[in-house]
Amino acid sequence: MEALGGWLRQVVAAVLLAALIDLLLPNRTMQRYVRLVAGLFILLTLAGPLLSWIKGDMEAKLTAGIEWAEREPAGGDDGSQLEAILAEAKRIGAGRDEQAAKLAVAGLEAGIKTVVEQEEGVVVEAVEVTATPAADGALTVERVKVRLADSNTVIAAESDEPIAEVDPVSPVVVDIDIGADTDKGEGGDRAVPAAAQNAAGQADDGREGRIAALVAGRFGIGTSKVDVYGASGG
Amino acid sequence: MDILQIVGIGLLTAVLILVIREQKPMFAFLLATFFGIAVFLALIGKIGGVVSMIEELADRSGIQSVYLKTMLKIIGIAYIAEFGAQIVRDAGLDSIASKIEFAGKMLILVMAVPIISIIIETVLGLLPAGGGA
Repeated sequence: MEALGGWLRQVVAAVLLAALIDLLLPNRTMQRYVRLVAGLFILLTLAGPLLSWIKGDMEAKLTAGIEWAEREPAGGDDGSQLEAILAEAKRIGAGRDEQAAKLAVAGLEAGIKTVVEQEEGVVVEAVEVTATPAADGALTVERVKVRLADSNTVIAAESDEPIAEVDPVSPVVVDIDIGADTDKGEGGDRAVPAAAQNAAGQADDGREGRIAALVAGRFGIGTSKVDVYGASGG
Repeated sequence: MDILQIVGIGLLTAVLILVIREQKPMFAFLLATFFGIAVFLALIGKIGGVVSMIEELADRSGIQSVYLKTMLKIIGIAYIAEFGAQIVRDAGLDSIASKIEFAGKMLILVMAVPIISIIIETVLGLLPAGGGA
């Protein structure tokens, strides 16, 4: 009942307001237009409960719409509009910078992948570049991770440390005992893959160091920032 | 007493304009414009009183403030457009005056766009999906 009373009061106030507006008009030329708007307001007040029931945010939508209608023909004569435009420009600029940074990082990743695959003849599974924007808007590369597809070793190449020297191959002693052929043959078979794996690991060490140096040399990134991982590493 | 002053100044300005118009039509136009602005500025305080009274009334009746603001803006647009059109018409440029009135009408109609859109959206929302069929 109270809501009905409030609605009725609003309707009466809207009609009174429309009558007052009609009275205040300077001449007849604008009368039709003002009557249209006043009539719409009365209609909106009459259908207010229905509109609120169908659209919960009717009032907010109406306020936003009228603010838009006021702002649009004003032509930027108040400071708030200028601030809004500046804020919008700042937001768009930030979005564009972010997009440019993403594009640059993606290009760098693709470039590193191509160079490593061409120069070293290995399959690069993924290249991950971490870059942070500096104060002047330029990007600073923080970390480059190169993940190889066919290696099991993990190497973090450091710029200050020289690449570890390859240990000389230790002499392989093959003890052949013909008499115990059937018993020790299995042990001998085990020894050969171990040695081969060791050699392969050293080869990987050298290759990953070379990749780090290659990336550092080609793209001007410090070798301390370049990490090369095998497929299962990291 | 304000009305007496305004009418007095108006009569004086009219006489002055009639005298000057023969010699310098430009000054006559400027005088008319100046008188219009002076009357408007003299009455601005009274207009403020009326507006505050209407605002209080609307506040007490619980009507949405956006309605009142829009209505007052419409009145302002109508008065300013009429004022400008009359000044230009006094200068003998009826076509420019009608353009000013046209701009006023359009700006008043722009105020109605959000209301119309909300009403149309609601009516379309009431219809069942694919209501045209």
